[in-house]
Amino acid sequence: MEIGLRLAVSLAQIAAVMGVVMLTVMVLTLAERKVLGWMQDRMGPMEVGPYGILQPIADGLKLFFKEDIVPAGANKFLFTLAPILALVPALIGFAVIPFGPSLTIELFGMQIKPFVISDINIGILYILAFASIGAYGIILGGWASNSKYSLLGGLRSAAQVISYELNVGLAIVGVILLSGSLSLVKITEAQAGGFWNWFILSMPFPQIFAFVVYVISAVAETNRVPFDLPEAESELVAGFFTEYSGMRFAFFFIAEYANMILVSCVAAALFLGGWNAPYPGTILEYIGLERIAWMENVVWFAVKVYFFLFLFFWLRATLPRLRYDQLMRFGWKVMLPIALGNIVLTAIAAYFFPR
Amino acid sequence: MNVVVSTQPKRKLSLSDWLKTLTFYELLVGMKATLTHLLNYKPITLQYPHEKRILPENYRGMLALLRYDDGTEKCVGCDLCEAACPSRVIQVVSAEVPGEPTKRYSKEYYMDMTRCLFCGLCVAACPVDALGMTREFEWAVYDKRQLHLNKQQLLAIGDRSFSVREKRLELQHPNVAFFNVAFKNLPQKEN
Repeated sequence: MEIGLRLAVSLAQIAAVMGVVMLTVMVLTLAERKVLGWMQDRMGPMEVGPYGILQPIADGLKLFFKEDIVPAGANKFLFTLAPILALVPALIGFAVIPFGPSLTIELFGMQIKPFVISDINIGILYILAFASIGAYGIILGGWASNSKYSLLGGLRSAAQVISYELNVGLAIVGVILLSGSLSLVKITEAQAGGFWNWFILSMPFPQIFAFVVYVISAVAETNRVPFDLPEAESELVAGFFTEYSGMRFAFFFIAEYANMILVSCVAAALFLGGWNAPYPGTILEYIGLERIAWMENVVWFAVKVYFFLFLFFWLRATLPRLRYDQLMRFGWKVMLPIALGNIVLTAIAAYFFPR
Repeated sequence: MNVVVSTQPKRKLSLSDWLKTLTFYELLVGMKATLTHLLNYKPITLQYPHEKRILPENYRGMLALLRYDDGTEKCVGCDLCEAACPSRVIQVVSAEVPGEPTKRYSKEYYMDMTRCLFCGLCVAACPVDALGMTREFEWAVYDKRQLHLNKQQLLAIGDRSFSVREKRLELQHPNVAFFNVAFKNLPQKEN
């Protein structure tokens, strides 16, 4: 009985988070086209619904009813597996993201944390591990399609993985040194009390360089412009998902946007203080509404995440694509030394000025 | 192996160059440009089926066969349009007007609009101004055989596009303007 109830509550929590993520993906597909259009003096989608706001629903319906084609000579098993391998890691990472303050509520005699599905003590490692598995979906999808464009996209993705993944890991080490924990909940709590305590600005050593390295690597990790080499629609048709159609294509598409949300959440939690407001405490608490103070925290988290998502669109509207030798040179010869130097300096600073 | 590798001369980076590289100055300039376009949002899009642009005065659209004011066809079946057409769109079957051996007309007149490039050479070639270019351009069809037009269809296009049938006399070439006068007593030609 106790187990069943716990399972039901956990499932409800997972369903709520998945619902919010999927809704955000829908909003993002429209928001990206709109923002991109506005930046390029266009209007974006305008036909479906007032100002095109029903466009994501129309797109979803179209993809749902499209024919599901498996190309001749494709490896059927891997071809089917690849979209799932891309989507699942993108969604599973949200399990350890703290969306709001870590308060506990009593429900049916159980302690429940409503704003984090599971606070495991190696949260950030867990996210990095699953993000690496997501890259396999892209590489295998490109290889299994039996198409030269897909294969080239998959190869580029493999080349890209080795240039960004190391930098993501090393950029995060500085934050872990300062907070002394791998749990995202603890890292966020270590940044409470105003924006001067956020790890991007905090003394003894501001993690601003690590932040820049992380954001650039995150753009590469999500295969977004200017690092959209595996996709490269002007060179490789659609890159690794050239041969995909219908729901399989939709899986890759959702995975890309879910990954964007995930890396934005991680960036907000690690460097910008997560759900902490840029001032000590919350306004709602000061005016005597302690019971709904969590609302303000959740809104601050959403604001930070959406800032990063807007940054993704902004970069896409501005920058041209890099060649992949340029990406690898930049990753290995510029970002890696910066990240390593950041670790050394942070370690020295954290040793002499312990928090 | 004497391979001469020409290296670019190493330019010495000044302090401001270093600062620009470190602060992603060029990227920020580009991002500022896109952001200004977002903030001063003035789209140049025309929402086509809902709003249409104003066509220029000499727009060359769908071809049409024309009539005189009294309803008789202008076409005299001379085949000059067929000869002038660079894409071989037009096919004219010429015949005598029944009962009038001195006069000819086009018994059948076909246009394959899938090939037409709207150059207007047939209109220029016509000595009696029987061809006209309308301002219609929305001729997308699902079956391209619908673009093979016969004489009746071309006359119908002319009827609905040119309510005033005569080209203004002062716009016509002086040599052919003489012919473009309706012959009131000419009977309706049968096909």
